[in-house]
Amino acid sequence: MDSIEALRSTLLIGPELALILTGLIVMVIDALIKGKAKTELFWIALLGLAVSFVLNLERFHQVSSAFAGALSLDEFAAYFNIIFIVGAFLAIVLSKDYIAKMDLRANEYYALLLFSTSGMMILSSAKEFMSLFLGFEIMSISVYILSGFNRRSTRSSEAGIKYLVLGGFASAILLYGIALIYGASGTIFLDEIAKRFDINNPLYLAGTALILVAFIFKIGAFPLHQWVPDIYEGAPMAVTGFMSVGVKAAAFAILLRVLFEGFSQLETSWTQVLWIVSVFTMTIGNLAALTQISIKRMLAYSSIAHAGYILVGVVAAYGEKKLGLSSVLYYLFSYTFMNLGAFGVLTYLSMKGRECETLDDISGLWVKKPLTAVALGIFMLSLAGVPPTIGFFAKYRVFLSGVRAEFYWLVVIGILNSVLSAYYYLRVLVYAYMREEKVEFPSFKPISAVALTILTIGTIILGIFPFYSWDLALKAVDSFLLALQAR
Amino acid sequence: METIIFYVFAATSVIGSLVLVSHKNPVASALSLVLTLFSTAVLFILLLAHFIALIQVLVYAGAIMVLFLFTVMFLNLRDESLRFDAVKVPVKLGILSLLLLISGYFIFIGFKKIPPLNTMVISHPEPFGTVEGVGEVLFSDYLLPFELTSVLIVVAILGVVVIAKRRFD
Amino acid sequence: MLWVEIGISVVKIALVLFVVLTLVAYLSYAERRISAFIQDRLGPNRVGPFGLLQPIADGLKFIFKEDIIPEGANKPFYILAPAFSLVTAIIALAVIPIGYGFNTTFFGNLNEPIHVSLQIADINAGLLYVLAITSLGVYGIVLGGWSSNSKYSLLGGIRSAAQMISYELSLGLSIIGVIAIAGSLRLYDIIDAQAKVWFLIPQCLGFLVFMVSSFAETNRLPFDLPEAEPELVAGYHTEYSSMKFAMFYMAEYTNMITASALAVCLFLGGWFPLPFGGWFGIDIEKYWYLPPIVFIAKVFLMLFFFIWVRWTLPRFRYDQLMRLGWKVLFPLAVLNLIVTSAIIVFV
Repeated sequence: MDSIEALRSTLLIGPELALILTGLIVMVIDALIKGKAKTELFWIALLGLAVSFVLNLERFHQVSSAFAGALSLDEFAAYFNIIFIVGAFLAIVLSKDYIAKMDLRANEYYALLLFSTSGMMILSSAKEFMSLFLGFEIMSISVYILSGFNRRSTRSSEAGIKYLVLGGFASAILLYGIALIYGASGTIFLDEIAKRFDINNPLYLAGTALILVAFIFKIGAFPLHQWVPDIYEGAPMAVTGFMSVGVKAAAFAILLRVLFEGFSQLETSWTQVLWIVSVFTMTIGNLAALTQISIKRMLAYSSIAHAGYILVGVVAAYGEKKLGLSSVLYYLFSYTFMNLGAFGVLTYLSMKGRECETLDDISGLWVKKPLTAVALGIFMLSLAGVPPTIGFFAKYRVFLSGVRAEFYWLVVIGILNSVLSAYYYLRVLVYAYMREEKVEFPSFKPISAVALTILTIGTIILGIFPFYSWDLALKAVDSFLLALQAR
Repeated sequence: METIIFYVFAATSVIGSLVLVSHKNPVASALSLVLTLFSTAVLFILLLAHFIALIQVLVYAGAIMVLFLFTVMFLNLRDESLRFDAVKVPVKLGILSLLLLISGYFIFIGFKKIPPLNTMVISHPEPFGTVEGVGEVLFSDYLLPFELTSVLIVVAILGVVVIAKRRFD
Repeated sequence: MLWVEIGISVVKIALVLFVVLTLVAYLSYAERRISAFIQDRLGPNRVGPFGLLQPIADGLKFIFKEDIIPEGANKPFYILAPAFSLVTAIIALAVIPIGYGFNTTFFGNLNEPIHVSLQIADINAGLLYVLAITSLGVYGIVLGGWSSNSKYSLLGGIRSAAQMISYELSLGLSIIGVIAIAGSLRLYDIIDAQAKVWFLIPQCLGFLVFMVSSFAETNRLPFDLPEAEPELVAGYHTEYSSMKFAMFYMAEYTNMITASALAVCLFLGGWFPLPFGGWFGIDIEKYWYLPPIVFIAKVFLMLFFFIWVRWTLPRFRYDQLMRLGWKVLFPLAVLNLIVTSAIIVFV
């Protein structure tokens, strides 16, 4: 690669660069200024994300690859980037009041969120293991720090440490897998690996298995889901929201990219593995969520369950490539709205120094704050998959693709699980609408309210008119499959 | 000659890592990790990757492990706080069975299918492994990972700042 | 032929060991005499003419002293530590070239002349090798401090770990300017690149940082915090006695020799006698013994400088030491690197 190619590539990764530069600017300005003005760094972070979003849209018109094929800047990546940027944007908007309430007083927070998002974006377009791993680590390490960001809370510190140690194991396993694949094939580029893949060579099998294990950890699926509840519960609420949508989406992006582009020869094997993983993930997530008193923990388990539903789409891609994959993409997109919304309401309701966590904390919400209660209701219904919302359409698409691909049992189990999950989502609403008020609620906060409004409207409107975002997902998957066929 | 060196240092690194996980004294563990890193560096030299070997010693053995040792000494852990006999036996058994499982896999399923070793030897062009060789690919073919590493380090530094900062007053 | 080469290597290793260990012994003598001169005293002058046999007497005394291992000490590490210090200190010298070398047939015993280089190992990244090996030296000190089971020793060990790590950064950064100009990490090439002008002149800032950091890396005054006598009673080697103690001392002086030799190689023109002009047309092939003489003379001057500084400057306080390392030297080294590379690229 000569310097002209390097320059061209650098110009092409504008969205990623915008975030990294904004992160650095936030860091530097934070060091230079003093006092109250620091909170206004918030706007710079939002501006950076907005610029990145606009630059990213360009990729839907012009697919390219950068750095000698290390990054594939296709529509598939662009679709995921939208998820990350929207997730980060809304998480930051929700964070502003939360940071003030919890008195976190720290602007590394915004920089870390931006860096983490840039890591996810690298991850979604990486076609080469070294960039992939670095993107993975940039994303993960930022999130580890964010999880332990509230140093006053021991639970937050615990979450940070736990995530660091367990995530470190996952990274090591990933790296080990990459090393085996590299040792066997002599290349780190996914398409080259696919060409040289030899089913009879045990190194490839072991490498694929290890890499798959690392990804299963990151998406929080069975049997590596145990970290999810503790870390989601301990991390600051706004971070949990971001983590549950961003990291999960990024992990799925890279899972799809590596499995389909690199290890497609083993498709039958890993589809079988994911089938089992999917069933257990849904069931265990849902069963555990049933008994939770803490909403935050309940949402953590529900996020495990949702990972299971999304895996149905991945499995379905075995028979129905296009439909299966686009349903995965679309599910992650819709999940961003509804889950971030659910965490957003809890963030919004958190009091000074105390998070809104248990069912008691929201009882009587309808009487005191009817609009917030409505928003919460919409998010919960959407998570449960009730028709006019975005969650219904996403689940419908996933299960439909499962049926088309003739994985009937999987779909049956998925639907049963879905019904089961309605119990604990609706229980939240029972508390919010029908119980007496037990605690005080915080006063109106305009900035957070804006974020919640966006999320609510998104959940409803995109549910009623899903066509545009669904088409976009189809288009993204088209570009992905086209690249697969091209070689 | 090279074969002898290989076996000596390969054995040292394996023994070092075994001591690392099994020794009760954290300082001894840290030092056996240094030994492992050093032997691995020798293996790198046998593979003609001189630069990587020296950097391995300089960065890992010379800097990172010193910090490790520094922390271990600072905490000054007593042996009592490191007792984990209750879990020791299961852990050892677990490791053993895992090793058996893996080796069994390779022996019974994979062994006859592993391509013979000599076909996997790749000839190295001249600047391979030298500072020039590594530098050239680092700044051309692997430019993106190289730059991403700097972002990763910035993130790590930010993390250190967050953790090490004085508690909110 | 192979056996001849191996034989030459063995002879060279033996020679270097002998010279270095003798030099170390006489360095302690020089240190005492020079310090006495600086402080207007006499110093050791009784054993032999001018006290020249003093090191031998010292050595004998060390050997016959009782070898004490304190109770509660971690015995394996306690014994390992001084040996580790000394070994890493000595093997770092393996790549230092002191001349071009010469061709010889060993008085007609070989059919064709063989080239004898004046260094033990010619490693492509020799400079990195020196840095890597010297960075291992800290283990000896840290272990010695930790295994003695004494609070003074432990403090000394911890201090030295922190200090060595901090100053290794600026040391490493300060020489990158030299590497950039010379375009090689091979010490031989770096010296050869100074034929026109010593790197001391374009890299004066780098030299400053390098020298200060070397003082810290060798634990010499003004940075001898790990062994500060008044507060730590000799720090990491408080509990050591007899030959083990001597080994720590030898390691310290060997490190000094390495640091001096490195400074000569990197900044002071190696074997070139004057800052400008190389050899002024002297036929070096014929007078191959001139470069080693010049080189060794410069090393002696540097060693004198080390001792001179020790008896001139007071000790830093610990926070001052850290501040100097991180807030002054490190930025200076980075600045030097940026300016140097900018000049190389744009001029």
